[in-house]
Amino acid sequence: MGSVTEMAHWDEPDVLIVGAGASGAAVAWSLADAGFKVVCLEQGDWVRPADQPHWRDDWELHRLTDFNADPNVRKRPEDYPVNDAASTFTPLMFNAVGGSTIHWSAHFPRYHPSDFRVKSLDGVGDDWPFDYFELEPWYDLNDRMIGVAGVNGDPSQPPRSPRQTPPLPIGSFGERVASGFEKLGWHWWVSDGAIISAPFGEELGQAGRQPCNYCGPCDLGCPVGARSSADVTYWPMALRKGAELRTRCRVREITVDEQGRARGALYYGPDGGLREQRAPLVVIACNGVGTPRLLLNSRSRHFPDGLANRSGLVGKHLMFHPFASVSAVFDEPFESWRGPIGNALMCHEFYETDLSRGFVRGFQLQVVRESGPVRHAVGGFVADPVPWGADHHRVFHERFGRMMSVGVMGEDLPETINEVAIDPDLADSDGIPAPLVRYRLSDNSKRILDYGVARAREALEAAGARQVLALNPMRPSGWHLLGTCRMGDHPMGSVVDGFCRSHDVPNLYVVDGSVFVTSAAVNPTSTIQAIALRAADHIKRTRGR
Amino acid sequence: MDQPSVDLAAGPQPAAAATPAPSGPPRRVLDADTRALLIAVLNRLVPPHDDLPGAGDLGVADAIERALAEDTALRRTFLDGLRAVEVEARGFLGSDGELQDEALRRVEAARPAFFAALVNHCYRGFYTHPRVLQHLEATAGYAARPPQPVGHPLPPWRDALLARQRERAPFWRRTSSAE
Repeated sequence: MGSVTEMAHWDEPDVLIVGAGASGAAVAWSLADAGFKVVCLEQGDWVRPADQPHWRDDWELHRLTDFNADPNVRKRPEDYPVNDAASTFTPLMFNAVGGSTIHWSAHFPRYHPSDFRVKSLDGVGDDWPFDYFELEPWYDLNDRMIGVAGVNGDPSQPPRSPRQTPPLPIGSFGERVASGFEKLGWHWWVSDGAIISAPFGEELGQAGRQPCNYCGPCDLGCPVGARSSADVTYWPMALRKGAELRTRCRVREITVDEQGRARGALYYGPDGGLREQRAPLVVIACNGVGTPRLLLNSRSRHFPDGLANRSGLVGKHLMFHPFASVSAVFDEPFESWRGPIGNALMCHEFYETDLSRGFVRGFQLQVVRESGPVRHAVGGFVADPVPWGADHHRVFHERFGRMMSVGVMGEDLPETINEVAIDPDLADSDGIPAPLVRYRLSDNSKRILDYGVARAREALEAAGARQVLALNPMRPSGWHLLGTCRMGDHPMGSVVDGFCRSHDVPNLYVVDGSVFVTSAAVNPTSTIQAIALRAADHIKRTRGR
Repeated sequence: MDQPSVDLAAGPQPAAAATPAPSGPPRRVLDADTRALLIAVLNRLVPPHDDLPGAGDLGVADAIERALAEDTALRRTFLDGLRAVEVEARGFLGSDGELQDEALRRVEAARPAFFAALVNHCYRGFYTHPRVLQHLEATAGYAARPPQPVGHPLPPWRDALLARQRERAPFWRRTSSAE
């Protein structure tokens, strides 16, 4: 099973994409499918099934080392350092074909309609240039192309097209947590997961994918191709349509021509040599930290403050999702290491704004499973290590397999003081200046998290937990990197327009989470990919295909 | 530049991907006395239990020494920290368990970063040891094997669980009168 593809090679592509992650892959497929000659440059490489830790006796240790979500811990050759000392949350990302979908838990909700109208509804943040229903066709397209597990009927969301495969099982441990929400009369629903629970993808050209066998550590990869990461979905399809993907090619800067239009990318190839790939259209897809870093490092006579940065907003309005973790110890031997670690069920009872709670906007409660013995011992989701010494074995066995957790994921608000800048001293192994992240938790976010932790505790106790632990805030939670090249209708208030096109550089698009106006209180990948696909369709329309 | 053909197969790759056992004897970066001290410390951190020896007697010091061989910053932290343990206990190996634990608690308070790393690495070595995994299989039903290719059994999803939720009126917030 599987496919070996002879890859195309383009000296003069129609479009150059920088970054092979969730959004870059979607655009690569969409444009290649329409006949564009696509070249994508990716500083990382394929993470092959055999290289993933799931087959190894020491698999858990890889979570702490070469498969850790923090590039500053992982330090693979393709990782660049990030100065995050001045940030409440550590930015987390993976540099590879598939990008951060390599360490993705694939919890796959959509934004609510209210998330696109934050200013109109609540007087904070801004409105997006489009709404949920305008974006919906591309949410649906993305789901159809990659495969999603779930079931419709959720009263917290608008009606939507059918999911491609049935829900992933939540186990007796998931049912126990759900019973806590039920007892309190709160909402819960089985989560949409970008993980297939039944055969999918063969006829689309996604060869070799197998349904989930509930092995657990999605955060370390998915060697059976059940998870709908970009490397097993969009990339095989894009390559079949003639896209060229150059791995181990690290872009240093985007070059501009005499007229101030994007000309191409200067990049270091696998041999370390510097080359320029030119293209009439350039698409940036390097995530909410990597994209502003690239643009700010691309200075020229036309753009002394960084490419596409006449607004001064490249790097500004950095949003994470303020995050806290709450873990519960139960008496029952649930064996809660079974099943996709980040994908079970969710509660949106407190999603929409209710000012009587003392804050604006809201949060998601994302129920999370546990993992193996090393993770339990070193502290699990709340980083609370099992005590050493005389109590060790008793506490370990009280916890092992008997824990379930809740992630409190709050909505962040866009603020100019939260930003990605360029570090004056730090650089990557090619000498490219590294990003410096400045972020502090706002008062509103703190109130959201305090309230959310209290609600999570309440639900877990209602479910019969005998002990509840919390970590508020949880620092290593910067998976979602948003807002740093925000979209908008006005060039002085935004970096790109509603179709992701730079206001300043008509042949430059940004398609990753940088373009987000507001963060919502859910995992962003489904929305990132929908926006990227919509931008790709705009490119097709305006460039005559 | 030439790009190779790309093998896009997902799917099982069992035997080739098994962890190779560390080849050859562990690279020694600790002298005999320091190693003996580390073993004794590990036996206090994770004491004997059921038929399992303490972490020190189980051989966890070898795994730690391999980590210290590769990370000189960590090596320095451990050497400084273990020296502090010896000083606090005024002879760790000669003390009884209570006194050893008291010394460790003092070092934990005085050198929290070292102590956290010590405990962390102790747990890494202990909970990946085959004897411990077999013990967990026997006592907690945890399969002593990697996650793939077998995965784990889970009973299928039951939609009846959502019966009450389906009865609830939609409560997502409308954004215009048209919706």
